[in-house]
Amino acid sequence: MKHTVNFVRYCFYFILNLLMLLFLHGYFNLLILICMVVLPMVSAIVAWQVSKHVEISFAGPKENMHVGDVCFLRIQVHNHTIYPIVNGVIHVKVSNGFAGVSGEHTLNTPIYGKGTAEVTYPIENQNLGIIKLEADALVITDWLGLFSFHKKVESFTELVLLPFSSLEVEPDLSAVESGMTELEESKKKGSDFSEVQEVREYQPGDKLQNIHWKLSAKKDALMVKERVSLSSSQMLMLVELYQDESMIINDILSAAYGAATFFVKNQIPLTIKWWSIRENDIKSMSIDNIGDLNTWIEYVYYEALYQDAGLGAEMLSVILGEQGRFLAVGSKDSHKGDILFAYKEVVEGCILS
Amino acid sequence: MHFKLGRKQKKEEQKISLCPGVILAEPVTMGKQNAVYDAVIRGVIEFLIVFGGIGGFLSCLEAPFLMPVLACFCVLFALFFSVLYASGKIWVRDAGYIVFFLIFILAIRVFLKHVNSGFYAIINLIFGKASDYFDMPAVREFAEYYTNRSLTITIFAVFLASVCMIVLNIYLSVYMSIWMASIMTIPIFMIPLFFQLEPDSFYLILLFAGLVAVMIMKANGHCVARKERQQFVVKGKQKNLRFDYCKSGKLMGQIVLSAVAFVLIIVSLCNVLYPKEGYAYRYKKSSPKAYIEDHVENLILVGVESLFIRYHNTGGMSAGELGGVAEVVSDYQTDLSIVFAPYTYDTMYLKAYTGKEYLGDMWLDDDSEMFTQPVSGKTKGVMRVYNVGADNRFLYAPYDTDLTDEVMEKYYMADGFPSGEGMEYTYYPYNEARVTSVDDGYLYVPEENQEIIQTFCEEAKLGGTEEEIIAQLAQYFEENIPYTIRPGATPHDEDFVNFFLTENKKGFCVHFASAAVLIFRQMGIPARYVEGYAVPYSTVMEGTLADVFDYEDFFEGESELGRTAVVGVDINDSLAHAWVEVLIDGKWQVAEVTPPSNEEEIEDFWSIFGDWMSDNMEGEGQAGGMGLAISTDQIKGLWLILFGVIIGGVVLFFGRIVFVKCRRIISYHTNNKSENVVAYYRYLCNYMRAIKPEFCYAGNHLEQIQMMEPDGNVAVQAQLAKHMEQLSYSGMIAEMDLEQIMRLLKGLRKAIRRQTKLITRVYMFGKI
Repeated sequence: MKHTVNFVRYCFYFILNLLMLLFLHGYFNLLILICMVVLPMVSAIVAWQVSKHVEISFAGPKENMHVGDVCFLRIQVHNHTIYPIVNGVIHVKVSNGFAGVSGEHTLNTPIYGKGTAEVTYPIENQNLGIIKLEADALVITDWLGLFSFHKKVESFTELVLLPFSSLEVEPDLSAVESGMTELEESKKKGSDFSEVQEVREYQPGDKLQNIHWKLSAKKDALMVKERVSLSSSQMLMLVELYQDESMIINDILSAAYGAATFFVKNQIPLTIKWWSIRENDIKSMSIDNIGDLNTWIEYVYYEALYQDAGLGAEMLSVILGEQGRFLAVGSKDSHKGDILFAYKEVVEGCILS
Repeated sequence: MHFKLGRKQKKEEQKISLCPGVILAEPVTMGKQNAVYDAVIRGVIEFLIVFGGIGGFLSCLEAPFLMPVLACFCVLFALFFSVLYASGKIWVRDAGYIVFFLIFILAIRVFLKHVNSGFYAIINLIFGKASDYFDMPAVREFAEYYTNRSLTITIFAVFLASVCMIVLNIYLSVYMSIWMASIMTIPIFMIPLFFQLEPDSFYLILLFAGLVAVMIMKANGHCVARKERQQFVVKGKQKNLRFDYCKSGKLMGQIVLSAVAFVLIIVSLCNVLYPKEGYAYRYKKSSPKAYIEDHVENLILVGVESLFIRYHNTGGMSAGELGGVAEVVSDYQTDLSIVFAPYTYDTMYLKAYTGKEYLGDMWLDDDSEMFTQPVSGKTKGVMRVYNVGADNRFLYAPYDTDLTDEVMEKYYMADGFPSGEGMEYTYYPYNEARVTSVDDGYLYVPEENQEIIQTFCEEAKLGGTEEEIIAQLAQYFEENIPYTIRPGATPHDEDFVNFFLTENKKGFCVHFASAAVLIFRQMGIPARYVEGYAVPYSTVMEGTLADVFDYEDFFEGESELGRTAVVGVDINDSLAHAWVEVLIDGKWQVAEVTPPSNEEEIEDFWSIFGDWMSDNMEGEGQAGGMGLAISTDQIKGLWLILFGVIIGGVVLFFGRIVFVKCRRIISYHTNNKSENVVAYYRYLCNYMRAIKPEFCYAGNHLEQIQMMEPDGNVAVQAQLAKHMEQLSYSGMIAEMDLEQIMRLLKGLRKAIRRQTKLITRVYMFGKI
């Protein structure tokens, strides 16, 4: 429609000038006429040239962000030609694959000659997952608004959103103690669920918590306790990747993340398990520090969610058998066991056996 | 029903969702934008258009002007107005305009004569160019106060530029209007272009570049000032969500540069490949232009009135038709060109039309001979008459011409006396030929005229010999009935002569001649009505010497002037005339009864316009007869108008304030107390919104009240908010509470005032 309006307007001025030229035969009008004939051609060529030499890139925060944080994502349009374009329209798609949501919009931006136009999106995210901002097409309109050139672009950026680590998740360890004697024993030994298999010299990459300080003092060299994990003495935490209409997965992951942070801070060895629909298997990851935790959650963001609230716990119970005990984090009332913690009244962490 | 404010705020608060769970925390931005830079770029465009337009126009006319001075002023105006508009604050803009207006008035008061002189210099230049184009013998010039045209034209151009800049700035800032930009510049070029005068390429490039830049920005719908406060406009919802940027100064700058480069290349290439001179060589006049050139020529000579001349005749002849025109307008163009040897100081009459029978609104022509057949005598003259632009129905022959068969054959063969043709007449001055009998028709006075004519004759006390009657009548006319070229048209149902003698009592030669014919007839003197050209001796003396001809070929015998020479005289329509012929002693003789004009000069459009613009200030070095300055009375008049405008403006300004205040106060002094409270609260909200834009983001009554009184008692504010909410929705509340609420609201008003600066309060006084 806009093209038509511009075309009609241009024709109107063209005819007006043509009439003046026919009437007056002035060189002045002849020049206007020539300009008006050449201008659309130049305009189209310029737009075509720019469409060939324009690039779109994204820039965003390098660190992972948390839900609720405002982050500034930038779309940059680089034009390598000297010609400016008044109307560049970028088709932008915003999606969160983990949450299964997406949206589209168009961004109209100027395209500077030999320069970069940068548009900043101050966005706030309410769901966990990886926010993907991608541009799939760029439409460049010529100077006179008569022609449009479509250019396919494949440019995107991703932003990993983590839950807040300072959640109000305070697991009730008394429940752990009452329900898990091995845990209690381990705690007395130094809250360690593993056993020392051998002692060796420190090697770069060894965890500081494994250093045997007393022996190191005696031998005048750093000695490290080589541990072997004992599954029966590990804190197993199963996270249900359950999704419902209220986006409960946000709360489940936040609760799990908060609880895991708590365990890491209290130096309680932790293995997180979850049911992977893609691989049809229980997946697990040993969490020793916050870095491991972040890696785990990024890993989880690529998993598919399921609709059965207790599916993960069910599958893990089958695998572990009767001897297995674990902490299941899922929606409230989806598990029956001793409640270790609750989160926002919709998520619970229960000890299941 | 009263909660519109709150709902509006909530709507404003809605955040934009890019996809479920991803919202825009703040508006999308393109980095910090410099409003002044944007305004300067817009100013550059305005400069290109206005300076290019005015400079180009002046360069067409080869008008001398100080280009750097004009350029500097254009830059100043462009920057001033564009920055003024970009401020975004109405009061700043208004104050700026008022200041400029005052400076403008002051400057025009100081430079009035310069501006006047500059304007007339341009008009004279246009007339001069038109004169060259049409090959006119001469055009009238307006006198200029100052001979330094370069200065006066520059000053005039500066004033013109300031006005253009104001208008253009508004239209570019608000609409980026290519239409207005074109209208303000292109049409003025039609004047010089009509006369094949082309502007300099330099100005042309500036003008075209400005127009191309505006066209590009208009076509793409950006860069208007009204969206200045936000960088992006959000349109549509969900999948149709759009973020359109409003403007970008950097982009505007690049577009202007591109436009300049484009136009520069195109114009340069055209100048090289197909230069102006080559185009001019191939110039071919278009038929529509040829068609209107005559009108333009008349327009140049006479003015706008030439477009409304209702004569169906040419060259001032009405062919006996009476009363159809309200005024006589001459175009001063040559109708006839005669070559002859002058022999007398008397006026030469070239006779064209003879009227015999009077019909009330016209004279029927005389079927008899135009002239009494002359008798060959001792004196004989030859006159060559060339029809340049006169009515081709008539012969235009001098008295005592022998209309030979050869002449009449030529006349009948050509079906008249066509333009561009010539006739050679042989005439016999001082001829003694006599009429042997007279037709009764020359003594006939229609019945409807007889009484009035008789009464007139008695009043004028006419009597005596024919010569005495003629002299008495001429004197009476001169003393009692003024000559004017604007007598007004005779009403359709009125007799021309009766209306002239009894009601109108003013007229030009046709009126006097027609009346005189009937009066003479009433007095028993045979008379007839004649039209033609009267060429006074003074006009003959302005003629050119035609020394290619021998005197002997054009005159034989004795003359009053002795031996003279053959001269060529151009006769224009200002010499067209109507007179009377009376038969005395068997000879038809000219009886001139039309009194001389008391009007100082024949005024045309340009004269009237000049008169309006000037007074008759004398002795200040004017070159011409037309005064150019504004007289003291006119200045007083202008000051009065200006004063009236200012007073009107002040009255409107304060009237609006009073009206708004009254309306507001009445709104919370009704019988309905709950309505009053809501109205008062609304007033407080409007006040706050005007002084604190962030007030719009207050989501509920409590937040609004807290913003009104940040240091107030929270409990009281919460209670008040609750009451206001209740009132807004239901309007049901106890009367006691209403009084209490009103007291609290008045307290809020005081709190608002405390946190408002004095200058803001003064401003708000006028606004709300």
